[in-house]
Amino acid sequence: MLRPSFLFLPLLLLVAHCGQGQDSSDSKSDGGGAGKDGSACFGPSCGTGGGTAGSGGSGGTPPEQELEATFKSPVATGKFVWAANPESGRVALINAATLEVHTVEAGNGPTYLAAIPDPKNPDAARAIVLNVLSHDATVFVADAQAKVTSKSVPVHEDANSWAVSPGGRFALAWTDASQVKNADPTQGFQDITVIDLSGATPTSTRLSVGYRPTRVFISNDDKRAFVVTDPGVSVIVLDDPLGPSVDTDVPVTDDPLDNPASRDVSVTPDGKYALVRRDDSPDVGIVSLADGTRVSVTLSGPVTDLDLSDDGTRAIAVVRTPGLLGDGDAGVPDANADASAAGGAAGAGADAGASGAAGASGAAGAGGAAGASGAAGASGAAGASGAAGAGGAAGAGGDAEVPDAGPPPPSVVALLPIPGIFSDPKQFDSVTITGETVGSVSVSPGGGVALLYTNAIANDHLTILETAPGASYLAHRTVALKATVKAVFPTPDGKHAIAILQPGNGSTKAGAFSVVPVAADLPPKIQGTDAPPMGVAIDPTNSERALVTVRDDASKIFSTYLVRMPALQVDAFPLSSPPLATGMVPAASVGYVAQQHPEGRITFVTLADGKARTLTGFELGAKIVDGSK
Amino acid sequence: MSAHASPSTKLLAASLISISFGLLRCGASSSDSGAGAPSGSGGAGAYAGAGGLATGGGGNYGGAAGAADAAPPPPPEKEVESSFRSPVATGKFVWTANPSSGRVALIDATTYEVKIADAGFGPTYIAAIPDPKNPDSNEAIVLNVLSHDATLFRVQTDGSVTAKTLGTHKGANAWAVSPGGKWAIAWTDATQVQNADPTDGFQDITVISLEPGKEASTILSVGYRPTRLAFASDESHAFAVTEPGVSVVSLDALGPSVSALIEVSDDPLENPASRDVTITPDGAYALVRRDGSSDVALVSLANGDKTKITLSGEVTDLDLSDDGTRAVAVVRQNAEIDVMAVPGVVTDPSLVDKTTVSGELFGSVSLSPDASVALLYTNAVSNDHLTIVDLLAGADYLTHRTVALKAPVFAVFPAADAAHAVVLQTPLTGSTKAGAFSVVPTTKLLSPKITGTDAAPNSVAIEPAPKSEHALVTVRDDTKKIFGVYLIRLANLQVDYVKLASPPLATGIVTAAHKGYVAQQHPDGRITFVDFADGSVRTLTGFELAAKVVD
Repeated sequence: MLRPSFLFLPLLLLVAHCGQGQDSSDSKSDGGGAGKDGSACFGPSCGTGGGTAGSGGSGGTPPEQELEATFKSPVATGKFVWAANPESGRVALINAATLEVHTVEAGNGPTYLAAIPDPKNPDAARAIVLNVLSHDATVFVADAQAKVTSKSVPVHEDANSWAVSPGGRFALAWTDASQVKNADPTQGFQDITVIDLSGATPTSTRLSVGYRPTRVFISNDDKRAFVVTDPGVSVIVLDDPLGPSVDTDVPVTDDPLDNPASRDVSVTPDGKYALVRRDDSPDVGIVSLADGTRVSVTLSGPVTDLDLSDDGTRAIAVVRTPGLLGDGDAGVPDANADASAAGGAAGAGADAGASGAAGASGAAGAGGAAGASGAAGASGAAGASGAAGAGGAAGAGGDAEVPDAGPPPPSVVALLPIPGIFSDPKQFDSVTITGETVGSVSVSPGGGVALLYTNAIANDHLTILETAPGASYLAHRTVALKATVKAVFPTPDGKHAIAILQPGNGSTKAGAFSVVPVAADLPPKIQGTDAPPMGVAIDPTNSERALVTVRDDASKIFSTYLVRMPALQVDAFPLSSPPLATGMVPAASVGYVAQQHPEGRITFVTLADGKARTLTGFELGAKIVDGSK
Repeated sequence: MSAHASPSTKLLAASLISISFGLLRCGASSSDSGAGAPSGSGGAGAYAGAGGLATGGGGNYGGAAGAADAAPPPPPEKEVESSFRSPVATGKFVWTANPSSGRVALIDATTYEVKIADAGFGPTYIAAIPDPKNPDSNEAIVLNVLSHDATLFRVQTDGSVTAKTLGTHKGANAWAVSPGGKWAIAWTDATQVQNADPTDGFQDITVISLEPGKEASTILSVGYRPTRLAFASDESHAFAVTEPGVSVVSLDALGPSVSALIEVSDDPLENPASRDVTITPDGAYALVRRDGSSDVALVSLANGDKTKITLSGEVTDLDLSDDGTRAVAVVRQNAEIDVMAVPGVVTDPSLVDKTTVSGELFGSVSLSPDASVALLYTNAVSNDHLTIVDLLAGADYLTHRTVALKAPVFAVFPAADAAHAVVLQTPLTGSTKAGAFSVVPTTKLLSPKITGTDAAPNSVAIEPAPKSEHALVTVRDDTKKIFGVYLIRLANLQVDYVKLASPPLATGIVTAAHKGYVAQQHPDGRITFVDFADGSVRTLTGFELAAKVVD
């Protein structure tokens, strides 16, 4: 999965649940197979519950979900953590080593913070905050004594996101429409403010890009920015002596009026190419951002995910169901696992009886030819899955006695060399993952490992694919994580991964995560949690520590888990208030969890010895109210 | 949409604009619902739903359907651009008339100094008098509707203002001023007169010689109910488009006189409302389009000779370039535009270039002043698409691209430099916005900027050439008391909203001061200036009393 660089999200898994339901309903038109959603779960945790499938049986397998972005963390620079308080109009600067606190005035409603990197001075402490009520941004610079100076520049209204250039010269404030509820169709959120941080006084320039930007990339050399929008990619020249300007809009499709929601666009770090994936399409588009030239790489089936390595030299595409073109994901016999699938499919099948393949549906008992296109065969297979999960409280589907459909068809992973693929669209490596259904990929930052899974259906498998050159190139193995995989975060060194899981209905746990050794062939550590995970942070320096934060407002369960790698030791630290965000302060060797509290609250966890210290009311006087535990 | 006669000289009543806007919406809605779902090849809902949004598709149009179940064609396109034009500025001054006080205020847009001059009784319609040889000159003329005369104002080099009054006919409500500022014609636009009796022909016009020292007025009679007045660029003739044809007014040394009536139709009794007549700037030809007809007629205004150019289907719009050398016709049913060389096409009918834009529905065209860009859209049905056609000679001639503006297009205003256009839009069903507008880059491949508004747009002003870098769009909702103006910086598509304290009446540009202004409805007079350089705003209220700056 592609991973935008920040943010966290409460109630994430709740969102994920909802997404499933919605997807399943959306997928009615996909036609075909049944019981998709709640179906393919492999392993003992599967088949225990029919409930989850209620939403799933009506259509084709829903699209993969991009969930990683919602788990990311907020702002730390050097040894400092920056925390904004929209109500007080102040920003707190906390020394994570000494827990000393400084508060500084921002504008009106400081809300969205971003760190400003300085590659030449990694210990530099610079940050920028969007003041949503005064429509400006305040740039903070802290010296070695934590003395903070600030300067403000105007910003367009409604900005709610930041993109900061790798070299720290430019910060782009933009509006992520997905964060705006009930946006009017005439609200294009097209304003973008480019802030040049290079001078003694920052300057801002307002520009307009395409309708409803979804992502912003900045080239490694800080010279150009690329804004993915409905009509295409708006290219911004940043370093023009006359000031930033929008140079061109590059269409990424032959029909710029097509549905942009079905597109997934990423840009190589050097800013030369945009890679475009479309739902239900076997094509990967490679677009030259210099001249708009487009080439298309056609794979063996609909490309369900496309991830780019950090250095931009390789893109990895996943074809969940090869050969399935034009009728959605109907044929995925993923329903062969679980009673839940069958159960859910039964209901859906009833609804879908009008779609035609009712006979097949009936034969399948549950799997039902729910889809409009009536892929009866696939549906029949789906019914088999109902049998597999017969023991579950599956409802109608569980009673189905049909032959086992066997393992799922293999998925295919293609490795596209960048930029070579642009000149020779047929020259790439691919590997078939036999016996597994994978639709999503997370590539380790170094690009040596691809982690394959699906979150479109209930599936606890994670496939680890070697992508580094050598004897093991394209070798792979699969591990079972005992609960449905929702998102996967490789560590920077590629040796481990944190997988966020969603337990099946038979589980008493509200959530789960797993620490997966990737480089070593060791068993994953499975950790059930009493609240759903909502934040993940991994130490970027040595990749040996991580924090996973969980939150359940209803039952008032709030915790963070310190994960130690390679020992796979997991320790829980209860929190006294709802966590908002999780992050790391490598320079201080601590992790932190910002929490919801009227006076501000943050808990620091030392990574070396696992000591937790909580700071509350830091806006009032850096008061420490909770000591080491 | 078709060219109009000097609308910039009009001070518009906001009520008319609002009514116009509302009518379109009602019209679209009623016709849409009346049409029902198209049964032809077009997709259902393309224009079936009230307020629904057609996102293009020639298939929306019923032309491809079999005869038996052909859907009714969309209603005629609407000419609405002229309703949005701006009032009067000369040099660095803005002129504003107060019918109640009988005075005209002259406001220096750089210093905000105000001069007050007495006009006649009921000064209402004001027009700027150009002087191409002296762009800094400041002259204006106002129609005093109650004393039935006009007052000509001139600002002297010492800053003083002189006034001269000249008689006019009764009922005048519009101005046409010749390009060189030698003549002004007061006339009566019947469309501005409510419940006119069929016997009210509004045929009087008053021709005023503006030559210094020789100012004089002459009342003439032209054809029944003139709809447009135009001048030949050499100021030798004026042309009044009327029901029976074009009345030719000679402006020679012997004094103004009506020299001819040129019929523009073989049937002079045909419904004139179905006609759209445009005069070339040199006064050589009248171009005539008729609703329901596939013909474009070019009528010589010298001898009445008619040349018909027959296109592939009904011509739904016809627009003429500012220099009169190119006309662009739209054939909606075939998604076709035809580019005609004028007057070459008269002698060589093959001088017509055509192109189709498959998959799009458009019936209107707005040409950039230099005719380098044609903007195609429809306001007959709900459609958010705008097609941009390159008309510059070269490899890209007649190439086109279509942009989706997310709300139905209502009117399109190309900037003078052809680099951008401002598009006014009606709200989409389901939208919480009262209106919308877009700023569309037309020469660069950049995305349009779409802005929803809380009140309906009621006027537009775009900075004139050579640097069309700014524009103003005012919005007005009297019920909710929402009044404002949007400052548009065209270079970066930046749009900033400025709240107004009173209902905007008109907006315009004071080029010499690098500012825009919004005249507002206020008993003592109110005008807001927007500085293009820094976006700062100054409002003058009560300027008739003491030039009081209150904001």
